[in-house]
Amino acid sequence: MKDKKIILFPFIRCYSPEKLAAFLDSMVRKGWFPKKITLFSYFFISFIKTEKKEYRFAVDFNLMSSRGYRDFYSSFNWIHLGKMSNLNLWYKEPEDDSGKEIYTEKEHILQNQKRYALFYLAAIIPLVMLFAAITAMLVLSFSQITVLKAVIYCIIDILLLCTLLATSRQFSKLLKLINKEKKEL
Amino acid sequence: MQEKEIKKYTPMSETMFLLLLSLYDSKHGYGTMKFVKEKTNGRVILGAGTIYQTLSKLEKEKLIIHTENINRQKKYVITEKGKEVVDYEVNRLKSLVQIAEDIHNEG
Repeated sequence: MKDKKIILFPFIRCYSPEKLAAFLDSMVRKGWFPKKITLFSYFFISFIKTEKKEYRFAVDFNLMSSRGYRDFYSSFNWIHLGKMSNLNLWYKEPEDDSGKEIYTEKEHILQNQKRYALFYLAAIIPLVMLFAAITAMLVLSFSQITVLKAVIYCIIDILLLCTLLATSRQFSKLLKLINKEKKEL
Repeated sequence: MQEKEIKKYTPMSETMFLLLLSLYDSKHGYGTMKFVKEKTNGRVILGAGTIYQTLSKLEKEKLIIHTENINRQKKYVITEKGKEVVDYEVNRLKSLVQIAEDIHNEG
């Protein structure tokens, strides 16, 4: 039986911090625990097989990830799983009585979603640049390169375009969500 | 403190109001959550992130100050300025409740 599972592009699957937390909750419920969160987690997260558990995950953007910040959350029994850039992933036992959510004020929930949107944008910009660069190279040197090279470049370009479209689609969903919540505030 | 400055903070969110009230005695973040939960009979359970951000904001505005560090946990207590803001808010809320009661009694 497999004891490791890799989920590609977890952030493209989950367009809001709440969706990402719910996705991780559901994976742990099925017996898959996220191994660690690193800078590469944008591309994939690996999960290891564990017993089926109930945990509550939370995604939090903190601009100053100081020791004070971590100590503060730890005193509420949140366990730090890891961070990539300023995105921090926390989890805790579900029956813990010191709060099941990290943010209970609408203003803070919205602020967290806005930071997630910036995080998305930071991923979209390099994708656009890479796509533009490869397309330009393909067009400019089309007569000079071999057919095989041209095909490889085309495949990379198409894959990039698909990723870009998927990310942009999720990004627009997040913007809609933010606008809706702004109106409710 | 001038009324104009106090008005900057009111009407205040339930979170901010309850956190200020919890700090009449010095407490750390977890202590404020327990206080609020107990006083509201479990109706309000503030999240760690919400408390963290609100306390930082209150400290910046000098409505509370950081007193000591125990086991790497910062403790805070309300300042005179904070108390003035709370008194103002209490009076504002009282006048609102009075209006509601008057209407209720008329009906």
